[in-house]
Amino acid sequence: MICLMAAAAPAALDDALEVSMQKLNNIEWDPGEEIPEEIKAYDGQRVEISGYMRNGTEEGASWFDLTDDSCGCGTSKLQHFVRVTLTDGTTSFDPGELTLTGEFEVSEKEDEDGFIESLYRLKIEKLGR
Amino acid sequence: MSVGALFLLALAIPIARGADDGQGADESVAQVDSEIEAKIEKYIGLARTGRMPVRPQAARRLVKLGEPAATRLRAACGEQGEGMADLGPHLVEVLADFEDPGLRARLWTQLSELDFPWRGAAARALAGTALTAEAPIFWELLADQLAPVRVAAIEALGTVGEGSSEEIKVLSDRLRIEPNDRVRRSGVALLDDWGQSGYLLWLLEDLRRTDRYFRLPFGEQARFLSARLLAKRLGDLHGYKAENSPDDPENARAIELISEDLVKRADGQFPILPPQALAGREIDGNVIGLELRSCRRGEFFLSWNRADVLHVGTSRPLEIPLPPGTVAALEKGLAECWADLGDERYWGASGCDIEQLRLTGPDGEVENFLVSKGPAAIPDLRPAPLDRAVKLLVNSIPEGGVWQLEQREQPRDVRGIELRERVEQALQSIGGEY
Repeated sequence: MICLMAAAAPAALDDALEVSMQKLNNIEWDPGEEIPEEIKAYDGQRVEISGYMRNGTEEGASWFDLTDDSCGCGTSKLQHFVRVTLTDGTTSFDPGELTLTGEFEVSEKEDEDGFIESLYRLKIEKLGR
Repeated sequence: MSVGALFLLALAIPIARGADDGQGADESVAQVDSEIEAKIEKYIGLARTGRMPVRPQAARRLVKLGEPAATRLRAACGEQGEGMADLGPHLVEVLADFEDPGLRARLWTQLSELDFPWRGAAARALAGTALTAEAPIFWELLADQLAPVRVAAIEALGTVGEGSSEEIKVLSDRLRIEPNDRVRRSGVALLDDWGQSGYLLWLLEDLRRTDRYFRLPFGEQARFLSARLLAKRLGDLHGYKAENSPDDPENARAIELISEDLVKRADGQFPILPPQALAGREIDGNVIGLELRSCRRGEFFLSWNRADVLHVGTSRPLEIPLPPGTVAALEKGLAECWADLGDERYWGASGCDIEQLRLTGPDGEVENFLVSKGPAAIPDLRPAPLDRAVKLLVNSIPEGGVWQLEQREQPRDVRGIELRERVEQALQSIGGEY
C-alpha cells in the first residue's frame, strides 16, 4: 500500500477522519437531490480515504479519479468517484491501493457545459511513496 | 429534416418564426438545425470518450434531443448494429430509450453476439424498456455467461414476468446455483416482490460478510448493497451500520433483530442457503491472486493459498485442494517472472478487459501487476514474463480426475465447472495467447 498525504497541511495525519469509500459510493442519491446529511458532514474536513486510481488515469495530469477498485468497471454514478487534485505534482498510474489524506469537499460541481463533473473532491499535495 | 426535428425546432425558435415567415425563417431553421447537429456530435463524443462521470449524462442529453439524435445513432450503428461497438457502453445503454424499433432490433442482434463487447449495456438498455413479448428471451438470459446480463434479465422480468408459481420455481432454482452475488441480490429482491420473502434471508447473510479479495473489500461492499435493499423492504434496520464490522456488538444485535423481522415477514418459511451464498470471512494465507474481468468472457477471482488450496470466487469461495507443495513452487516460479519485469507494473490502455496479478510479500504488502485494454485486441499486450506467470498459474488449476468427481457431489457450486478452460479463454480474450 502506498501512503500519500497533503504534506503542507498543518494537521497531523492522525487528525484526519477516516472515510470509507464504500460509504461514499453507496449513498442513495441522484443529481439534483439532497445529499445525505452524514455525507455532507465530511465537507471541509481533513479526511483519509483508501481507493484506487481509475484505470485510464492520464500520466502527468494534475488530477485523477479515485474509485473503489482499479478496474472502475461499472462505475458510472457520480458518487462512485472522488476527484483527487494534486496541488504540487502530477499523476503516475499505479494499480495498487492508495491511502490519501487531504481536504475533502462534498457538493455538485458543474463543468462549462453544465454537466456535473464531481460530487466528491479531495485536495492533496502530491503523490509519493 | 424529420418531423421530430421540425417539432424540436418549433419549440426552440418561436420568436424567429413569428418575426419572418419567409427566407429569414428558413435561415433560422437551418441555423438551429446545425446547432442541434453540433450538440449531437458533441454529446456523442463526450459519451464515448469524455470524463467518466460525464459520459452517462451526455448520453442522457442525446435522448432528450429525440429523433435527430436517434437518426444519427441509427446511422452510426449500421444496418445490423455492426457499428454499435464503437459507440461505447454509455451510448449503447440509452439506445432503447429512443423508443425506435430499428435501434431496439439492433440491440437484440448485438446482444446475441457473444463477441459484442457491451452485452451488459445492451441488456440493461433492453431490460429498462422490456416488452411483454420479449419475456421468453429474458428468461433464457438468466443463464447467460455474463453476470451483468443476468442482472438485467432479472430487472426485465420484474416488468414482464408474472410471478406465477412456475416462474418463481425457475428463478429460485437458477439462484440456487448462481455464483455471482450481484445477481443473487437482484433475484432475491424480485422473489420478495413476488411474495417469496423467505429469500431475503440471503441478504441477511450478506450483512455478516467480512471477506476481501486481497485488499478489495467485497464483504463491506455487499453489506452496503444488501443493507440498502433490506432497508427498502423492512424499513428499520435497528441501527445496523454497513461500514462497521458485523462482529461489532451493535451490529450483531441489529442482525439478530433483522433476522426476527424476517421470520415474521416470511412466516417462518426459508429456503436452504446454497454454499456460495453463505457469509464469507477474510481468509488468511492467500498469497497469489489472478483477477480477470473480460467484457466477453466474464469475471474470475482466483487466489492461491499457502495451505495448497485454490479459492475460486468471492464471498465464500469454492475451495479446490491442490497437491502439497504446489503454492510454494508457484511462488518460487513467479518470483523469477517478477524479477524479469523490472519496475513496470502496468501494460496496455484503459478499458473493459483487465488481468490483474497480485502477490502478497513476506511483509504482507500486496504487489499488483495490471494488464488492460478496450474492446479491440492488442497484439503482444501481456509482456513475456507475465505470459510465463499466467501459464504457471493456469497449469496449477486441476482439470479432470478427482476434482471433477468432487464437483459431481456438489452440483450446486458451478464455479469449478470447466474452470481451467474458462480461465484460459478469458486470458486469451484479454492479454492474448501465452
